Amino acid sequence: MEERLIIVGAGLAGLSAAITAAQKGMKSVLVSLQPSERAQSVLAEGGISGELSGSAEGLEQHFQDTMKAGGYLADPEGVRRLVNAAPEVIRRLRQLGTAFQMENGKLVCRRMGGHSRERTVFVKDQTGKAIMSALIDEVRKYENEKTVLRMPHHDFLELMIQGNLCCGCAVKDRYTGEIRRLKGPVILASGGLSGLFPGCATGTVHNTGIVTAAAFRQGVELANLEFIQYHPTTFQIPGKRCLVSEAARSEGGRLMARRNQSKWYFMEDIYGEDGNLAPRDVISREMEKIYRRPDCDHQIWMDMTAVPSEAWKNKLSGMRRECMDYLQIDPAKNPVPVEPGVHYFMGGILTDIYHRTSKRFLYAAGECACQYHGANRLGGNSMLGAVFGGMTAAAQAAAEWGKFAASDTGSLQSACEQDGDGSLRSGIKRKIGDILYQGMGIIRSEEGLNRSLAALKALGKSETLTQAETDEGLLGMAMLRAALERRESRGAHWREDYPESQEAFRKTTVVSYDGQQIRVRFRQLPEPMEG
Amino acid sequence: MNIHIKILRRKGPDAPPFWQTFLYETEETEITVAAALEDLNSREPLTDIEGEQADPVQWECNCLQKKCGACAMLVNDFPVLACEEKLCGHGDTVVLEPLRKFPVVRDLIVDRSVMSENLKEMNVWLSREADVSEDNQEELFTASQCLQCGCCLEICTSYVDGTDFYGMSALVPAARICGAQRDCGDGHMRESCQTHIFEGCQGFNACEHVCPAGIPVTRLMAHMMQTYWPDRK
Repeated sequence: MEERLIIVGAGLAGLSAAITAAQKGMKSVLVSLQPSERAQSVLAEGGISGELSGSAEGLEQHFQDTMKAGGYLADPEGVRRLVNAAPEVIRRLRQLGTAFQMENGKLVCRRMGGHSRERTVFVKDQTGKAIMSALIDEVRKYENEKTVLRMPHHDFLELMIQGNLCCGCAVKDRYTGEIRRLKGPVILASGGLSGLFPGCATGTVHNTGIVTAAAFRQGVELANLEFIQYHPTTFQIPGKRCLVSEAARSEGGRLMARRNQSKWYFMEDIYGEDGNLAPRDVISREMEKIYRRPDCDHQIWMDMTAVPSEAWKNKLSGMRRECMDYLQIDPAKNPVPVEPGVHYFMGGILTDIYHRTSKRFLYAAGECACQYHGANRLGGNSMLGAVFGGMTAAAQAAAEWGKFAASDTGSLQSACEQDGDGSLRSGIKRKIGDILYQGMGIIRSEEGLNRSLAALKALGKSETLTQAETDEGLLGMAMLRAALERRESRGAHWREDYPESQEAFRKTTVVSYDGQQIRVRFRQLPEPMEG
Repeated sequence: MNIHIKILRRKGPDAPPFWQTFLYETEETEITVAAALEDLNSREPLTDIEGEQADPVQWECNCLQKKCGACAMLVNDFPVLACEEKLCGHGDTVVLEPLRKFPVVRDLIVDRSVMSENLKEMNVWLSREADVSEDNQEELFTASQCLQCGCCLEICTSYVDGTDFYGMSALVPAARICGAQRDCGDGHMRESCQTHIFEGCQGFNACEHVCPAGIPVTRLMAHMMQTYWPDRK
């Protein structure tokens, strides 16, 4: 195959990158384990945020809300670019036929948790699916003219790294077993790490983080791994957790506990009338506190009985069906039992505002990248970050294409250290997941984190692990180490032994691996730019 | 309760198929086929009903909540998503087979790439900017929901790979494009819909019955023909 931009992952960020690359005349290959219709992006429900008016004041509010919810840990310049681009991103998605809900000739916006106003457009409660369908159709046009090639049913094995240069990656066809070495700059758009927590996360099974784990083993720096968002309103279904979209709270859903046998709408009681629209980390923590109270039942409910019938019909029909199918509860009539579940990873591959990583010609976008969300992500910002991140990464790769072509990338055969074994056995996955879930819960402590770290090390000694399983364990240890070193509480990282935020820790946690040891350091944030 | 899970297995596309049965004990009446398969595969070692050691069952899944279409298979001869289908309620034996209209890769995994190839060949993409408004938003939403799981093709009496009829997995994305640009696109897509969808459908509507996303495909097709092919003979 000729040299192409290699995009690993065919979800929102990957498709967005492929379209931008094609528009810039750059050929790409989309490598993925499954077709785009199966990507985790199709599960995204609530919407995509952006200040449609484009007013300076509105953009500033979106910027401030994002920074505040993220514990002022995101790169302000990156966030500024993100929110400024949002209106154009939404306009472009509409041009591709995404039918964001309209009423009276105008787009309808909902207010998601942590936003100071309504600024999230949506397609009922299936926004991700609607956007993905639009992008899949658009990419098909480029596939037809061979600008985009697809390599579905391929496992990513590892990057091909020479010194500080990334010159491609090795992939393996799951159908035939054939291993291929692809040469070109690489965008990793491989999604979050929910598969590290099997059974406890809302994400998809295949988002195991194996791409991130292999890249980390090969020396790519990761950042802010300790920030894992627990979505407060999920329920257990076979094999995973199912989301009760935050959109339900923006339509009038209320969190309820039972205190001394009486209904207690605790978020409103503690935070005032907008309490149910607090950021997700705040609500999850309050729920965790309720579980520890002797005067409360250990079950928390989402009471959506006051949600208007129009909202059930036009905005929340999918979620209502899920509650009825899986719980046999009609949420319009009865409260739904909920508990926090692992939902989103704010951390991931360290990137700059152009989505470059610590290796040249290696870029990362979407949930696998650490860029826009700081210590906690706002609703509606994930799809925005994925689409905009994909666009930015591809534009940067296009700008650096000449330099890649001129660089000495040597022989691909020799650059690839080993073929690796990409298999992850379910039993081992569960063991790693259980250990991590113990340490990386909503409220953490040095003792608990150390216990999990020791257990992961012991697992590596007691079992013969495949390369992929070893990589997953290494990534888990990196996560635990980052959480241990951040001796403060901020956003989604809550330490009961260090309950206060410390200005000294308002820094990016950078984790690296040199082949022997995991190292954790804290890097100064760039200064904010003028609006 | 003890359930026999009988699976039609195959080690590769050219390997001979064989049946293997596993004993599954559960008290959970709501457990899905997907969850049972995941449970079986986490057994170390996995043994069949004869006590013979077995390789993990190869199957595809991803979202586990009916939104990605990966886990489509035949359960007791009917195309379903394994993450939706309950294990109980089928008697004491549940038979799992790969979809038959697609080439088998391994065990329950089939190669469904023909669906995307057909869409490519039909030129199913926008030829200009979409015109989205209140009057077509419901139509566009409905037509954006196709999982490309293949259940509709599996049940269809007209669909056979390699023939002209491409089935409802081609219709639904084409309906999205027609709805978004308010016409049937350039000449090629227009002709393709005629040749590969409208002319081959015998109207039995079994596709709509099995669609895991609940897409009203007959209504979509009727709307498409009425609105964008008013001159169709």
